[in-house]
Amino acid sequence: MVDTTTARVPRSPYATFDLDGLLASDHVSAATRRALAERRAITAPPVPRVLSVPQMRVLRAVAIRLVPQDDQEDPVDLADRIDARLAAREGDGWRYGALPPDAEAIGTAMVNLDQSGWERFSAGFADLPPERQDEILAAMQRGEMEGQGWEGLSPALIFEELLVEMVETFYAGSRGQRDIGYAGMADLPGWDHIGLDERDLREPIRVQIDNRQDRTGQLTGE
Amino acid sequence: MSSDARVIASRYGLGETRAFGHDDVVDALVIGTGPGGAPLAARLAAAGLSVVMLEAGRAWDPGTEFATDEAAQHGLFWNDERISAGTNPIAFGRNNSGYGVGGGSLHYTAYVPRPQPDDFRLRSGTGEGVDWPIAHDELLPYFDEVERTIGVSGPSPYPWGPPRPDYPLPPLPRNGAAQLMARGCDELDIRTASAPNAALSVPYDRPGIGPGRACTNRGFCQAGCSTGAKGSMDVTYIPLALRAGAELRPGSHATLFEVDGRGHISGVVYSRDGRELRQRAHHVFLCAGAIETPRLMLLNRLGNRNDQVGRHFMAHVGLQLWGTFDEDVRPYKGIPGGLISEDTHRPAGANFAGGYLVQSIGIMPVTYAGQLARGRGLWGPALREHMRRYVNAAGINVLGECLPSPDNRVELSGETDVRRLPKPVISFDAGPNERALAAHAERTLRAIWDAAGARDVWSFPRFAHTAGTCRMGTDRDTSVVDADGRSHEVPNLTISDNSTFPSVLAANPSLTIMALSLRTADRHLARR
Repeated sequence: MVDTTTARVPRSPYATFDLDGLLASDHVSAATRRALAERRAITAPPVPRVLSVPQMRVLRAVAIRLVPQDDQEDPVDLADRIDARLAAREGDGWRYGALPPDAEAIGTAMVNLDQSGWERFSAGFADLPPERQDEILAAMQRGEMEGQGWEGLSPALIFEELLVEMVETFYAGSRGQRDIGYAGMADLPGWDHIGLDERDLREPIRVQIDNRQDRTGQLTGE
Repeated sequence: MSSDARVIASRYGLGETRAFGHDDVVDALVIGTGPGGAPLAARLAAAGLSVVMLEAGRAWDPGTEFATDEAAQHGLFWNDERISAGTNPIAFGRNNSGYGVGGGSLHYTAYVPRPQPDDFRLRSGTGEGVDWPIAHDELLPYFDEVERTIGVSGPSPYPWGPPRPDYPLPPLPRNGAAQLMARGCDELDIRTASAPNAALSVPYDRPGIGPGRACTNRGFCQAGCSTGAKGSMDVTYIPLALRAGAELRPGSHATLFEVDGRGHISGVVYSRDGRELRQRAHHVFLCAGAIETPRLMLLNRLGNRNDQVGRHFMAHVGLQLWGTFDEDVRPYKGIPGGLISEDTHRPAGANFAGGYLVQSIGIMPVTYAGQLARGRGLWGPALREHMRRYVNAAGINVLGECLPSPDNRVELSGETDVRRLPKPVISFDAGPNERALAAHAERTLRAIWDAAGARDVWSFPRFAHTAGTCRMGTDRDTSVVDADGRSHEVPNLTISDNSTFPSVLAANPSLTIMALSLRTADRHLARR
């Protein structure tokens, strides 16, 4: 799904972390286990709820560039989570006054990104090679977007909001949490070793991975 | 007992609670159950007044409902959309206001340093800002009382400020970030101490409330304490209020104030389960925080003839500095704000008024990732790889003075929310004093983190906590309430929350909000 010529996400140094085993243990409360399991079970509907099919196609392409998951067997559909949130009319308690309401801001931004793809590289955003997509996204992050569609719609602020939401969604789930060696959800009965370089036995350790030689990784204890 | 009252009684482990009728004219109707409303409700009920507490959010059962999962705990925050304008738009949601019985205390970090005496005399001491109409000394007995009631763990003696009684509990253990900050500060001869935190370091019998368990170091204070070790209102002043005979109505969102011909509030309309209800009351205590309190006042055109409601919005300079360390920190464990320094309370040779405190901070992964994205703009493989050093990340933070400006304010927007009420717009421009203080703070934090051995250091400029939108004062033209929290215009309206702060204080606000809440109740009782 991602062009192999561009930078890839190397393997996680926590590749040996058995998060599923930890989640099944007594160290995790029922409420915590339920929350993570429900999130993991979400599947996207065939047709988006709020965004249009073309807008959703651009948003999915954006998600792949902002939070690449080419190292994940079962990537999270970050664009779907945004559409689901918009459908539920949920928010995070605030928005930039310089932006219109979320659904309008995101929908319009996707239309504009597609337009930028045509203007700059003669193809819709989702059909561009990853390098071209990154070029457009980097310009958006810098606020350097042209065209009438961007009037009253700060490209840099929308970029920031989309990035934050996608990043937070990825690390809210067990795929992202396993990837960074986070065991904080396993907090029962409590943490005994909280100082520098201290570890409770159920917390994972980092292993060294040689990503240059072999994408499957050579695992050795650190 | 009504079925609602039975649910509340069972939730808080009580045999029975009182319930009042809508046509009963209750002595005190308290809107909001956070640190502004809960202590006051307990005090008034203990004095024999009939008290009803309205809370927009629900009564959570932390033991069974709180997940150790940031996204699942999203419902603890006030998520109705606020519009953030100005050159320094303020982030809400996860910051600043709570939703549920206990209000913002459900997600405060429990960091409860006392403000210093000169915080209350900013004008006299620096020529900037305003003085409080209350002296620091007047709050001392209330600080003592709150610390004993909710159970504060802290160092005795405390290194800064006037002599004070010992903290009721010994300090909590230090996590990685606290150790790193101590290391950096030691290098630079900056004094540090274990920070005062309203979380129980050992089992503690909260007076009048009952035994509380010691903190298990789960580090999740900012998304809800499931053990009861943190002194949030739902496990301290709310049970006290219920035992004293107050009634609690969760899921009750106040919207309208009915005013009689004399200019008194005769009743408050609130929505509950889609129904509109109305409670009559002799006196209304508005304790909804520095955004919702002025919003309700503005919606109802209440107490604002001098056009001061919503003005002088303030937020702490809350700059954070993050770094990556060789050691494993695992920043999700232990009390988040483990360490404090107040050596920068009034920095020598500073080119700004006021000062700041420094604290070490823990952080959960979703919050960290979001800040990394917002603050550094990292994306793609660079972001994914940086996050794999989350376990090695540690942060420090300042909380510093913010001068009041009439143009920083809460107003009503033309957009409406789900209740068809105008959304609030909060405009905030940091002034020269805030910018100079933030620059000084960043230099201090960078020196500390360099000395501690941090690499890949990055700052996250931010403004946190809210205050000042219905400020207290003696001058009726430039304030909304008097020193006792009483509206200058509406005889039976009192405000008790951070909106009455004339200055933001170089300390986290909750302890002062609780102390003021008790004082406001005592002043009300003294007048009856």
